[in-house]
Parts: sequence; structure tokens; C-alpha cells
Amino acid sequence: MSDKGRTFGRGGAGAVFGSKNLIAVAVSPDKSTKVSVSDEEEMDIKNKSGSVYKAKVKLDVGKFTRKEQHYGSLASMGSLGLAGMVNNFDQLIHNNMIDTNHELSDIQKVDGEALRNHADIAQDGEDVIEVKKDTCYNCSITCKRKTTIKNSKGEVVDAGEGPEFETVALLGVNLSIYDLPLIARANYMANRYGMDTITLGSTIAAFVELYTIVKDSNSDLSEGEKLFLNDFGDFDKKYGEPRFGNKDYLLSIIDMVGKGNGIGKYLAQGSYRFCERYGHPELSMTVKKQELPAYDPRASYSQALCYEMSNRGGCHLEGGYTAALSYCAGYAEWPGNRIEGTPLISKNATLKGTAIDIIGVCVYSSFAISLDEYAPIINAVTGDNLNSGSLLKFAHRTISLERLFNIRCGKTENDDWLPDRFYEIPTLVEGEETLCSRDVFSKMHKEYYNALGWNEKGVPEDTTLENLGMKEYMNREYKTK
Amino acid sequence: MKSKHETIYKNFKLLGNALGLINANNTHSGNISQTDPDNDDYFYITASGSQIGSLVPRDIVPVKFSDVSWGDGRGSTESTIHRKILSIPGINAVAHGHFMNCTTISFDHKDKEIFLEYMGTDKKGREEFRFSPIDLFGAYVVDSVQVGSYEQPVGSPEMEERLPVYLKENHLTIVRGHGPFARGASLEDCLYRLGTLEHSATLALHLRRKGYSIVDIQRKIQKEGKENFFPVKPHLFDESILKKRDVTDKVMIDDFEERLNYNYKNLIGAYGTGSMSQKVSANEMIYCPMSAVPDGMDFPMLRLNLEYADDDSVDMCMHKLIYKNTIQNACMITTNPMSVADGMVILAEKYGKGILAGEKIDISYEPDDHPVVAPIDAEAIYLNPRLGLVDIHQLKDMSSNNPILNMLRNYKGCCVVAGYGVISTGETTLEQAAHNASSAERIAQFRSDVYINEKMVNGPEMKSFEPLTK
Repeated sequence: MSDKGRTFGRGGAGAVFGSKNLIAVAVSPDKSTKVSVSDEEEMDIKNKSGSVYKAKVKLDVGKFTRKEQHYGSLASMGSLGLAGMVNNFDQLIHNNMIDTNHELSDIQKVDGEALRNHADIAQDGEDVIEVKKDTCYNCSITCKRKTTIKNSKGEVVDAGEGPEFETVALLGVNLSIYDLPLIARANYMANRYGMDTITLGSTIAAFVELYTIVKDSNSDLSEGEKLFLNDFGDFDKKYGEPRFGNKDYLLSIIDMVGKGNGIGKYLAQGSYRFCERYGHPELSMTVKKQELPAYDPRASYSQALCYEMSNRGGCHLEGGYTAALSYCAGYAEWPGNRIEGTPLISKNATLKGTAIDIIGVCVYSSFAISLDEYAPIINAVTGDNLNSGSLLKFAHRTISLERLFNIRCGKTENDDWLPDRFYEIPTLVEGEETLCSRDVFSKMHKEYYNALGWNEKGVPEDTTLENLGMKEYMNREYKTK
Repeated sequence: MKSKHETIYKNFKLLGNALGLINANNTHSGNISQTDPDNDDYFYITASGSQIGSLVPRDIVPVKFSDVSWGDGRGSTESTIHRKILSIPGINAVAHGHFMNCTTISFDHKDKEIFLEYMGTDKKGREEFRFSPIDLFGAYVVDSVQVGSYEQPVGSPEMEERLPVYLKENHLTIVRGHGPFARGASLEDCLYRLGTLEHSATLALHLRRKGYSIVDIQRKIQKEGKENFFPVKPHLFDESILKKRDVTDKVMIDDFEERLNYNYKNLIGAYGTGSMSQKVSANEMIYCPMSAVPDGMDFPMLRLNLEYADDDSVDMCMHKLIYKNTIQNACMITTNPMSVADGMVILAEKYGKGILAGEKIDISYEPDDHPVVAPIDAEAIYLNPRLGLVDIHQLKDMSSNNPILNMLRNYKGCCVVAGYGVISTGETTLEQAAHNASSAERIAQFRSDVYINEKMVNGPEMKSFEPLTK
């Protein structure tokens, strides 16, 4: 599902619609339709005692959400403004998430500052990205970027939206590619094919690592590895070697994935099925077969837990966004390596992330506005009498229902785990070698389940379902492997 | 952190601790910043939500002047304000705290003018006030402070617009209901201004609560000029001599340090103001031109001859006068805001409020007729039933007849100088002087609080607790 530069990927909705031959949904608004709200006075932005005005004040003051002339990060640099900070705290993934160790000078070629000033910093002969700000309807944050790439002669090479932070992370630095115009072009291609860039990028990274292992292997190849070489064919001769740090192959592989050509046909299944085909599922950086985003789990155990517990797979939004808690949460900062109490932090983030999705607001607005501030606005629209507690209860119902659905589809607590490398390979985080511990995470899983009123296998208890008003789901047998 | 600037972190840590020691903030409020001495496109600021009183290296965030950078996402919400202020030439540091009394005095109204003069509105109709200290140190160190009323007084575009304008003209400004911002050549400079402002605000609070108009005095000072209103000028903070040490005796250095640290954290003296000394021979003293210093920060110790010199400050003159004419061997002059306010009230009650307006009034300093401060708390009554009290004009008198000398002789080494500070001495040790200084402040606090009880809740008359005299 694609809206020009924005693709609704990573939820499976595209796959479901595609399986039903749903090609498009077109919406043609009737401008005579008026949307009425319950309390117009409360919704009036000029009403200084109203909740909308108060929320706007918060947006205007928030470091990420305020306007560009006040050095708001998102308004000034788009989402790519996060890159410098995430890298500074050693959270930015690298080389299919083997480590988080980039050279600062490389990151400075592709971070938010680089995009913002690309016309000034581009080297001679390099393509230049011209940037214009854009925004979703009526949004004051203005984090969208419309970009145009021009060559050294000033001719337009390509144009589109982005790239966003996650795109630069997964289609760029995670492949050791630090070429911003190239990443932008890769992004445009992905958009045109309607492919999510996190999934695409991570899948390509798995492909690159698999190629590296197979090509550099000194021992006999397994059947799966031989199959890989067979499917790979002469890709490297035509398009360049897919190694970390090489970039020649990038646009070609995206094209092949989009069209389902050659090895692209198998990559199009996502990294898990791709790697599984060749006997190396451990190279797929996924949870529940969904690819992880830009924040390395070893640098934030609370984020790691959110990834593991997310019902839709490796997701930092619906699953809960805690990666920045260790450096960007004011006096609510929660160290990345903290263990005791972390499951509760992750649980709260899951509920909050889900509540934000239910409300339908942008996650970036939640950098400044809390559920306490959203609730009265919702009430002003709907006439309800909700508070943040009500919203969190809705979220609790939602994730419990999702959990039950997943269980019915065969998911168990055994699916609530990160890929092995995060428990086996340390990375340097703020000067210390860091990795996740299975024993510790096993304990945290149980505490997380318990915090949500689920049993130790992660199945919502009947008492919980009753409290959440989900009686119709009680007393069912949920098979677990 | 991938990048660290060790010296800047150390500076921040010291200043943050200093602010924490005097309750300038709650756990997480306030922010401080400093330009990078090695790169003029960067400044460093405390992270949003950091604990000023216990900073760690990752709390120090680099932020660019010229453009937005990732530091804008982690630095204080008020980074944009600091950026604008630090962009003013000559300004290298900014500090902001939620000092209790500075903030309390800002809760004023144009129709009330309890502590602030109402100055009208700016071009955009926003109210402006002015606070002018009425004590000597405050008048010279702080001068006057613009106090603004803001629609959104935390981290707002309005503050970003107005604060740099105010701070271009003055070292300090107060955001009404929020707290003061200071700018300076260094973080120490900022602390000096903020601490002195807080002491001046404390004094103003206590004087006003006793029923005396602050604004009338302020207007008189503004009209006449501080050089004409006050009979003397105080010495000012000199950062260039902070590390000067004419002494190697560790016992003496530790002694001075302990007294300086105590005075600072117990609000006896404001950082960078006042003085202390120990007479070490017939014609020499070890002198520090400060009476209060936070833990870990530098302070000078100068070996000075007791002969008067033309460029001697008021404090130096006082120390020398005392050593030449009494048997005291240690001396301390501290801002003691409550003591000083109390002294001003007692003089006004006895000689008329014209004395607060700078009028030179003939005060008798005869043995049986002179002003004193009478403690009401038991220990003070037991140890020191009276404190000496003089008017500020006595600071000009370098003769052996200066009434300050008799006050020190007769009242166990403690003399309040109204509008200036407390002069405390010890026959043997600095500790004796320190005891006097700290007692004086507690005496004033008890007197003030019991007086407020008397007036607010119909409590017993404060004076009924003063010890009887002949």
C-alpha cells in the first residue's frame, strides 16, 4: 500500500490485500461533508484554556517538534535528524546488525545535517540533493522532505520524498553505504515499487552477509549454500559484488526485488524466508519474521524486549519505542543496560505505542504531547469522557486480542526472541562490550507477561480478559507448541 | 559519549554542584552552558532533564551555533535561548536556576510594586519590571535586573526573543515566576551574579515583610546613582587571581577552605563577595577577597601588609583597621542577607526610615546609647546577648574611633553593618569569626519568623523574647 512517498508496510496488510487481488483503494472526498465535533470551544486553537491550545504550546516548545527557526530537530532535518544522536550513543545498526560501530566521518555524510546542507557539502562531481520541506495535512512539525537529485551538470537525475532516518539506516549504514544521493535514489525506487525500506534494507543486508559467508568460505558448501550460488548466478559480474561497503549493486538489486527477477524473486519473500531457503535463517534480523529497525537491541534492553514482544514482529512503534529513553527522555531516562524494572518500562511503552496507533496520531507528536493531553482532545471530538487510563486500557485490549490472534495462528512464547546474534556477539556501547543475555531475557519475558496479566507462556489469563471486557475470549483453549 | 571535552565537563560539574548546594533548583531544573574554547561554532549545554547538582559526562551536550545538529535534540529545552545569548560578543557562559527568593520576588504586580518597579510594557505590550538591589554588594554586582512577564515562561519563542535583549544590557534577568538567567565571561562569573542576586532578593524580602518599602529605596538609588547613594564601593570579583596562593601551609589553606565552603552552602555569604583573613604577624595578614566559595572551586589567599594602600578595597581597609586597633586575629565579612535586613529595620525603627533612603543620620554610638541586634533564641542569648549594629557610613571611618571597633570589642566580635554585611572576628581563629557570622544569620531568621507569626497569626510579640537590658 503506497501513498506516493509513504508505504504502509510491515503490518502484512499489503500481503493480505494482494492475496485478495485488491489493487487500489481510491478516495474521492465530498467537500460538502462537514465533520462535526462534540465541543467546538475546546477544539478552538485560540482558546487558551482549551486542550488544543495547550497541546500546541507543547509542540512549539518541544525540542523535536518546534519550528525550524527555533532549531526543532524534525522541522530542521526531518526524521534523519535522529541519526547523529542515535549514532552518538552507539545504537545505530551496522553490517546486518553485527555491531554498531561507525566512523563518525561516515555518519556525517548521511545524517540529518548532511541532508539539510547537501548542496553545500557535496563533493565535486557528486550528485547533489536539493531539499524542500513538506508536511502532512495541517501538521506543524513539517518533517517531510521532498528531494530532487541533480548531477554535476545540474540535470535532474531523480526526485521523490525522503530519505527518512530508517531508510538511511537500513538501505544505507547497515550496508556500510554512506552515499546519501544513492540512498535517496534507492528510496525512490522502493517507493515506486511499494516496498517498505526497513524490510527491504534488512533483507538486502542478509543477502550481503550470506554472499560474504558463502564466497569467503574455505570449507565445503552446504546444499543450501550451493542453491544460493545457483540462484545468485552471475549477479556480481553484472551488477557488482554485494559486500558491505560496496554500493554498485544496490539499485540493481532493488529493481530485481521489485520485479521479482532472478534472485530478487526470493528476496521479495523477506529476509527470513530468503535465508531459510539457503539454510541460514540466523542471518535474518527479524522477530516473528519481521525485520528489525535501526536501533540495535544490545544498546537498549527495553527496546530489545519491545521488539521481542511486538505482536507484529520486530517493531519499535506498536511494540513500544524505548530506544531513546537512555539519552533523550529528560529525567525519565532509563539506561540501556538496566535490567531490574525494565519489563515494566517496555510494557508501558507497548501500551503507549499502541494507544498512539489507536488514536491515529503521528508518533512524532507524542515526543511532545502525552496521552494525558490527547485524552481531552479526543473527548472534545467524540463527546466521550476518556483519560489516559482509558486509552491505555484500549491499548491493553488491543494487544491482548492481537496476542490471541497470533496464538491461534500458531505463535508461541518461543517466537518472542531476538535473533541469536544479539545474545552471542557483543558490540561496543558507550565504551563497554554489550550483549543480551538469554537468562536475563527469559526472566524479563515472564515479568513482561505477568505485567500484562498473561500467563508464563504469554497467553492472556481469563481474569485479564474479563477485566478488559473480553469475556467472549475466555475459557478457550489456546494451543501452544 | 563519542566526544568529550574534559575541561568543560569539569567546569559544568563544579558549577552544577555549586547550584545544588544552595538549593537553586529542584532535582532536574535549571541549565548551564558555555562556549567551546576550541571551536567557535559550538557551545555545550546540559542535557534536557539532567540533574544539575550531580552531572555526569554524558549530560554535557555539544550544540552548533551556526545550524541545527543532533545536540538540539538532547540539549536543554532552552538551548535556543542559550544559543542566542551566547552569540552576543563577550559572553561565554549562561546559567539559569530557579533560585527561591529571586523567583519569589518576581511574583509582583504593576498595581502592587512590592519588590519590583513597574516599567511599563514593551512594543508588543508585554509587561516589564525592574528589581534593583538595595544593599551595597547587590547594587554594584547586580545593578538592576529586568523582570519580564511572559505568556509562556518556559522554553518559549517569546523567551528566545526577549532574554537576549535584556542580557545584552545586563548580566541578569528574571523570568517572572520562573527564575533568573545570568550571562558572563565564565560560569564562575554567572554564579557570582546569581548568588549575589539571590542574597539581595533575600534581603529585600525580609525588609519588605517588616513593612518597609523596597521600591521607594530603589527609586532613590536609581535617581541618585549608586555612587552617590552609597558612601563606599565594594570590591568586585576578580577571576584573574582565583588561583593565586601566597601560602603553602596546608592547615591554613584547609581552614580557609572549610570556612569558605560552609559560608557558601549555608547562605551566609554569596560567592565572590565579602572577604576573610587571618592575621599572621604584627604587620601581615593572609587575605581572601571572598567569604564564600563552593566545594572544589578555586579561591585566592594573598599575603598582605597591614599598612593601608591607596588601592585597598573597603573590605581590606576594614580588616586592617581591626587588626591595627584590636586584639582580634581573624576576620570575616559576609553578606548575611537576613542579618543585614534586620539591622536596617532596627535602625529605621530607632532613627526613622530616612536612614534606609541613604540619609546620613547622626547616630549615637555612645556606650549606653547605640543600636544593637537582640537575639531571641536561647543559645544566642547565652553566648552573645547582643550583636553590634552600625550604619553603612561607618565604613568610611578609618580612625581608631570607628564605632565598629567597640562593637567588636563589646559584642564578642560581631557587628552588623546595615546595608552591607556582617563583620565577624575571632581573637584566635577563623572558626570563632565563622561562628559569629553563622549565628548572626540564624538570629535574624528567628527574629524574622517570630515577627511574621506575630503579624500573620496573632502570635506573641517578637520583642517580648529579646533579653532584657539595663
